[in-house]
Amino acid sequence: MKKIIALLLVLVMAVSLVACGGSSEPAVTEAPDAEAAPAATQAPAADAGIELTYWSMWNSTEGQAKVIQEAADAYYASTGIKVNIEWKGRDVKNLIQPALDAGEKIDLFDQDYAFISKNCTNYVADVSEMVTAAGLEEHILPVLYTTAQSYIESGLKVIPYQPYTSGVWYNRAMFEAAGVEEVPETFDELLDVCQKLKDYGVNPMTCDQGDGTALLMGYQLGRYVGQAGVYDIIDNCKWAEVPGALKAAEDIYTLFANGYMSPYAPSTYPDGQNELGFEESAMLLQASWVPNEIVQNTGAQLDWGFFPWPAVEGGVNGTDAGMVGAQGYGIVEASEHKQEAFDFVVTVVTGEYDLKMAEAVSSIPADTANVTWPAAVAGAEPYFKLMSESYDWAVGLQDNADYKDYIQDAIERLCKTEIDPDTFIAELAALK
Amino acid sequence: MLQNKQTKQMIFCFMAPAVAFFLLIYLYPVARTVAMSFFHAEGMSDAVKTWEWCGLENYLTLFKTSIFLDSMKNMLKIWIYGGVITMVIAMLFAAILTSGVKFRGFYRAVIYIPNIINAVAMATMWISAIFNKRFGFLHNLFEFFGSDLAKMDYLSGTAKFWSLLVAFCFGSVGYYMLIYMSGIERISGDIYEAATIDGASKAQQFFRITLPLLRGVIKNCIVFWTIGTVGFFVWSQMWSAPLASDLPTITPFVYMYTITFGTQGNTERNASLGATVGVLMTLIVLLVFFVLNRFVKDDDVEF
Amino acid sequence: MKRNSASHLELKKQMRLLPGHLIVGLWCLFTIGMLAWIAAASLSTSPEIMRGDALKFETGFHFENYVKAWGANNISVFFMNSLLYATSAMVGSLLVSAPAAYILSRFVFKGNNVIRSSFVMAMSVPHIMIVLPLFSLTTQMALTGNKLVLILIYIGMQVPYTTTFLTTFFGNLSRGYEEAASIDGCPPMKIFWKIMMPLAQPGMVTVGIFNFMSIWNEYFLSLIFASSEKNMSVGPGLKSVLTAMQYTGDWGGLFAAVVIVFLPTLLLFICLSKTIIGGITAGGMKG
Repeated sequence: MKKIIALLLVLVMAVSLVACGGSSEPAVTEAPDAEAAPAATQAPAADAGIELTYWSMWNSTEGQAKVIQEAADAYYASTGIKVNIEWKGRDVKNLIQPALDAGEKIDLFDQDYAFISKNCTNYVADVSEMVTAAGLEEHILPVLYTTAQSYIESGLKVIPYQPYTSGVWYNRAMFEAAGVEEVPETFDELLDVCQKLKDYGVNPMTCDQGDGTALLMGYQLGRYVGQAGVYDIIDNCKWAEVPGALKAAEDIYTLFANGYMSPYAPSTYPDGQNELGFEESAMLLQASWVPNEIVQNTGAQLDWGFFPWPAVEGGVNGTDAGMVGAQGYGIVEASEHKQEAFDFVVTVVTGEYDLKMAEAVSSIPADTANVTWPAAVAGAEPYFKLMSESYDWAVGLQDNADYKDYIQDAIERLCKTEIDPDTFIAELAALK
Repeated sequence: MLQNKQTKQMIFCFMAPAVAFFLLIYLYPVARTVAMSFFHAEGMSDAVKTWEWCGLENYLTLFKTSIFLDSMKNMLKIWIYGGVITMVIAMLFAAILTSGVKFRGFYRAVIYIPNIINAVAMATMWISAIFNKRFGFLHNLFEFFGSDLAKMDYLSGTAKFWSLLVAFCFGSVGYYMLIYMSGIERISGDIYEAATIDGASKAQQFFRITLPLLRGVIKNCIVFWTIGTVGFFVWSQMWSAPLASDLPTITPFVYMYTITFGTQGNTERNASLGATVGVLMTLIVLLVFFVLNRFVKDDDVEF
Repeated sequence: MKRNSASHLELKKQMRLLPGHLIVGLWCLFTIGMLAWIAAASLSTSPEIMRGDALKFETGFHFENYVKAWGANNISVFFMNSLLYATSAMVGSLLVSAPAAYILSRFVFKGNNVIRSSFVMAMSVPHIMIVLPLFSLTTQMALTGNKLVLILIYIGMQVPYTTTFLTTFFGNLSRGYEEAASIDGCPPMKIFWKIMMPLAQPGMVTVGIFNFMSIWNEYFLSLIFASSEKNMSVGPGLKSVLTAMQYTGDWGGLFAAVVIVFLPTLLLFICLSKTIIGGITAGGMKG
């Protein structure tokens, strides 16, 4: 009904403009407008070939986008199926659900793989049969495969690509110069390493606010109480009851209060991580895309080292638990061309284009058949294989929408040493 | 004028497009948003028949949501602190520029410039050229004086809100200055002459003559400021990490965006709650408008 | 001798106003300095900017930043889109509003006052209030991603302000011309197009420029209704370049993009600052 009213209104406007103009002046403006907006809406697939609509999380200038575009062109050349890619950038996260609600014709989109599995589960198709039929299972990294499955009751809703791991990235040359021979395995050893680096005259560690500080606190909490424990603390507000929470806060506070962090930390992204590129700081806890970003930003040529975030005394998790994840493709349930969309995705996430993407942005190859990791992230490979448990992003600190801003705000102030660990716990415990 | 048939026809034809646009872009959306705020609806495109009546529940929910209350607090802070700073500086500049200084046109144009630049560009400039703690202006300035403030991060913690506010106010001053200037210029010069003869100082003249006579203009400015504050969105976005809301800078508009389109963490989208935020914001503007009209008399001078 | 003393007097007066000069002068210096820094940084490289050496140009002037921003960073697309949105919405809103304003200012009919005050009210409705239903309407009609939708919304958004502004403007025009023409037997439609429109030109230019600039700088609606890169206007477009840049680290290109985005409005402003300022004050006074 409303649709009709709206249409009528538009009609009235158009007609009255044309009818009353006397001269045809007003009508002229409408024409170029209409002309200027071709191709914006999807034409239904012509019989010549199928067209797919793909809403992408990348901006067309990013390395990933260029490889994906190449893959889409190749797919068109070999199958005649055209993939129309709309480069939406990261805002696709906010736009995808309203658009799908409204019945927008989208065949596939990409986002964080946990986001697709959890938040978009009603919109995307179960791809497990297609995955099996295509023999894709053995190409997907096992840890991602099982984690993606764990988010839903049965089946698989997402095809992961662009995997990442996380841990401490460091400047090897700086470690050597400061006389650090072995990477730390416990938090106390980490403090020793920090002291040595500080004595040597560089900032031992640095971080950016937001994800950077959340990762620090998340990892430390995770080491003490494990992923399930972190969710328990957040969801049931057990900050005061669980002793690990206070210990984690004290540890992080120590890093900052003892001057083991750059005087600029926590910095505004990406200033903090760039300190590694300028060889002012030695270590940074981040995901595996960070070496590439630093190199791009600063033009630095570093010998990248890696070690997983250290273990703590009496903690639930050791260094074999880590935050890994991936971007992923979701195939829209309502799409008429699910198989075609899936076939396209396969070309992106395996073989040649997967390797190209890994090289383009120094990321981890998604296809297990692509065994060589780019040099910048190669240091993380042995640890990746030893990994037995995976954490969610920021070990879950950013999951609870009602509290995450408060948690983040408190972490930020703790890191700036504006509040002490006890106040930190008290403030968070006071949130209901 | 004669209301013959031809004239009537013309009235209809000339008015129809404007009225149609008004109905489509303003009346219909406002009506639907108001209605929606009394129902439960998850997606904003959900058909009306799927809405569930819930009375004032959305409003009650909002007032129990601490993040929304915090966003209101931020908005109030922007409104009061930012408003006072902007209005005072704008008035001061207007007074200076109408006092007969040379290069008046140049000053006026330069002060107004931030208003004509796209907010995203403006914010980028502030964030990098001024506030960057590595190469920004403030860093260099404080370093020159050897102050510890050089190492301060203006874009995090408590400083974050204030750096945002300063940058926002800086841009707004020009607009209000222009309005005050034209207000002052419309006050007859005779009044000032007479006052000067009576021995009133410039400052006295400003407080005794200019300010009272500008009542109506100031009132208008406060209404504009309120509308601007309610629409505070892009600056807040620029000061936050990509795709995240930040406690120090979240405003109701940003909250509405995250709750209706939103997909932060595992929040459930709730379009009707977003609509409720919209209604509340509109009510605030109306409230300010009516309170001002009730208690501030219009100008004595007719512009 | 006389002239000398006059200029002497003037100098003395300006000296007395020195504090004023200082205050606004510093403020202006700050503004210009910021713009200049961005312009300088746009010709520099990321590592130089990061090290704080943006102004030294050790590696020369990098004009290729502009080429990159314009082409590879898609600024050309955003720029053209904004140009399209701003121009067509400006023309559109004038064509819709001018006739209405003429009628409102000249003819007495039922509803005249209601419409006038509705338009004034509409000017204070925040975007937050109208965006949800409009979005749902466009998606239901499967029109998302259509540039025309955003243009129509922009036109509609500017109609209340434009109409109110022009109503006052027509109100101040003498009725003599129309009466003369009407005695000559000219039909009212023709009177409007042939006589009133040309007379109203100054007002239309003022309000038109104002509309152009506010649409050029609009952010939120463009973010919602033109979310693909190929439809984006400069605001969200620049934001997306900014986001992408944080991953790719091309700061020089980013600042070049910033310059490209603000330059047109800046030039427009420098050329037309009298008209623009006139329009703003007129709008501001009438509320």
